[in-house]
Amino acid sequence: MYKKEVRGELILGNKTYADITNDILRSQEEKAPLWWWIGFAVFFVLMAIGLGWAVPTTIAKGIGMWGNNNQVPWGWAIINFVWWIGIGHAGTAFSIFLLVFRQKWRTSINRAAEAMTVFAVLAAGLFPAIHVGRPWDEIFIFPYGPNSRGLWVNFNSPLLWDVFAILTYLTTSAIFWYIGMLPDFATIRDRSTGLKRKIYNAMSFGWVGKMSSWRKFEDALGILGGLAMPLVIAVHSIVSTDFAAGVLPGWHETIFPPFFVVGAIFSGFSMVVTLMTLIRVAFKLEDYVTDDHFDAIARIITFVSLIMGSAYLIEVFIAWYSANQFEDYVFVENYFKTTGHYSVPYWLMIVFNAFLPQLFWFKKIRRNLTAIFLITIGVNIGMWLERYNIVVPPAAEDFLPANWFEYSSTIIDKWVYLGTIGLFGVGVLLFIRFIPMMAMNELKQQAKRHTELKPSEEEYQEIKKLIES
Amino acid sequence: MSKLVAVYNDDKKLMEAADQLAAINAPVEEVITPFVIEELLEKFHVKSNIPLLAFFYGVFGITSVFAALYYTFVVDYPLNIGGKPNLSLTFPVLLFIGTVLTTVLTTVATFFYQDRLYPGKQPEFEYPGINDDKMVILIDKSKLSSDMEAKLRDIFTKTGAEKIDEV
Repeated sequence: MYKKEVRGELILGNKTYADITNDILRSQEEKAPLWWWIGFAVFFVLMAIGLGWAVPTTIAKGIGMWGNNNQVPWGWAIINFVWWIGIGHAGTAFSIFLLVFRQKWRTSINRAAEAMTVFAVLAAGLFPAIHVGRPWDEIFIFPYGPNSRGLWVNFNSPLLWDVFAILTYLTTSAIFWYIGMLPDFATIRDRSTGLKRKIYNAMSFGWVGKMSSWRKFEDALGILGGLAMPLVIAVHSIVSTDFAAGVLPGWHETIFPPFFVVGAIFSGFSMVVTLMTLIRVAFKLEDYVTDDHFDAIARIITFVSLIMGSAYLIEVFIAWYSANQFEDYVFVENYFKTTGHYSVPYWLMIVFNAFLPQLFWFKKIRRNLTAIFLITIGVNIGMWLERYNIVVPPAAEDFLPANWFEYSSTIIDKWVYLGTIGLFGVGVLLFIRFIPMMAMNELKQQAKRHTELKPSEEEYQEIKKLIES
Repeated sequence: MSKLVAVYNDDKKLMEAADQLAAINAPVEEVITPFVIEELLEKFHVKSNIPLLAFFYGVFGITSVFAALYYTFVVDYPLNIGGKPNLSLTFPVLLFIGTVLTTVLTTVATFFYQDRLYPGKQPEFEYPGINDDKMVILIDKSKLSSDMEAKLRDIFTKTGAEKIDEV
C-alpha cells in the first residue's frame, strides 16, 4: 500500500505533460541570455586560437613545437587524450549503465551527459590524430583494400585497437544520442513554423509516436545500450593497454584496465555534475534536476573515489613489496621522499581524487550545490594530474639516470589543450540552445510514474484510518 | 473524413478506453502518444523483431570480422612479430569491437527501415499536441458499421475523452 521512490521525487512541482514541454523548451524559444553569448564568445576564441593557430603550427612545423623529448615521447597530447576520453565515458556510464540497471533517476541528466560524450570524444580524437605528426599518413592505420602495400596493419597492437575502439565508441554514442532525440525533435517541429519547422522536421525523420514506433524505438535503444555498456569498459581498457603493454615501470601494471575504467567513470560523472549544476542554476530547472539527483550522483562519486584511493595505495604497496628498484623509484622515491621530483602533482591528485570527495559522506555537503560544484571541479583537475603522473614521471626518469630528461610543456601544448576546451564549450553551448537538453519524452514517462505512485483517494483514506487506529 | 480520432490528455483515461476497446475487439488502427506507455503496448500486443534480428546481426558481425582477421593475419600475410602465433589471443578485442559496430549499424538501419524513418520525411499523421501532451486513438471509419461507431463514441465519451474528432 505504501509506495515510495527510493531516490525521492525526481520531478517536483506536480508538472503536467504540457508543463514539461514548456519548461524544457523555454531555453530554446526565448532569446539567448547574455551569459550564453559571453560564454560562446570566450569558448569560440579559445577554439579559434587553439585549432586555428596551435594545431596548424604543430602540423606545419612538427611535434618539436611541443615539450615532448626523447625520454617523454608522450606528453600533454596523450594526457589530454586520456582525460577527454575519460570525460567522454560519462554519457555512456551515466545514460547506458543506468538504463540497463533500470535506474530512473538518469532521466533528467542523460541527454546532457550523452551530448558531453560526443563533444569530449571529438576533442579526444584530435590528439592522436595530430600526435602522429603527419596526419596525411593516417590512412595507413586502416586495413583498406585492395591492399596496395602488400602488408596489413598489426592487429596485435593496442594502439591499433584504440583506433577501432574509439571510432566505434564515437559512432555508437552519437547514434544512441540521436535516436533518443527523435521524439523530442518532433515536439519542436510541431511547435514551430517556417524554416525552423523544416529543419526540425528533417531532424525528426518524420517521427510519429505510434505504438509500433515506440516498441521499435525502445527495443533499438535497449540493444544499443546493452552493446555500448561493455563497449565503454572495452574502450577504456584498451586505452590503458597503450600503457600497460609497455615495459616502463609505472606503466606495465595489471591493475591498469579496471583502474582506467573506474577513473573514467569518476571524471565523467564529475564533469556531468559540474555541467548540471551550471545548467540548473542558469535555466532555473530546480524541479527537474533535484537535490535528490545530486545526492544519488554524489554517493556514486564517493564510492568510486574509494576505489581510486585504494588503487593508488595498491600501486605504491606493490612497488614497495616487489623490491624492484625501478618500480620503487617511480612510486616510493618520487612521491614519498622530499627529494622526489614529482611529489607535488602526486599529492594534489591524492587530495582531489581520494580525500575531497569523501566529504560527500555528509548529507549537508551532498545537498550543497556550491560544495558539489567545487568538489567535482577538483576531481576533474585531480584526474588530469593523475594522467600526468602516469605519462610523465615514469618516462622522464626511467632505467638509466644518464638519460633522464625533464619534461615541460610549451605554449603550443597549452593552446592545443585550451583549443579542445573551447571546442567542448562551444559544442555544449550550441547543444543547450538548439537541442532539448533533457529527454522530454522520458521525463513525461517519469511524471506518469509519479502520479501512479501517489496513493489514490481510497488508499489515502485507508492509510488515514490505519494511522488513527 | 475517414478516421475517427479520440483525443485524451490523461493516460489513465486512455488506458481505461484501451481496456474497453480491447475487450470488444475494436478495429483500433493506431494509438499515438507523446511518450511510451508500456501498458498500452502490452494491451495491444505490439511486438517487434528487432532484438531477434540484432542477435543474428551479431552472429554475422563476429563471423565476418573473424574471417577478415584470419584472412589478413594468417592466410594473406603472416607477420612474425616476436615469434608470437599469428592466430593469437589478441583477436577477441577486435572481434568484440567489430561485432558491436556491425550490430549497432545494422540494428539502427533496421529500425529506420521498418519504421520508414528518413531525414526530411513528412509526418504521416499530424494533430495538434500529439507530441506534447495529447494521446489519440485512431480508428479507420471505413471498417466500422454504424452501430459499432456509436458504441465506440460511447466508450470515448464515457472514459472522458477530451474531444472526439474526425480527420
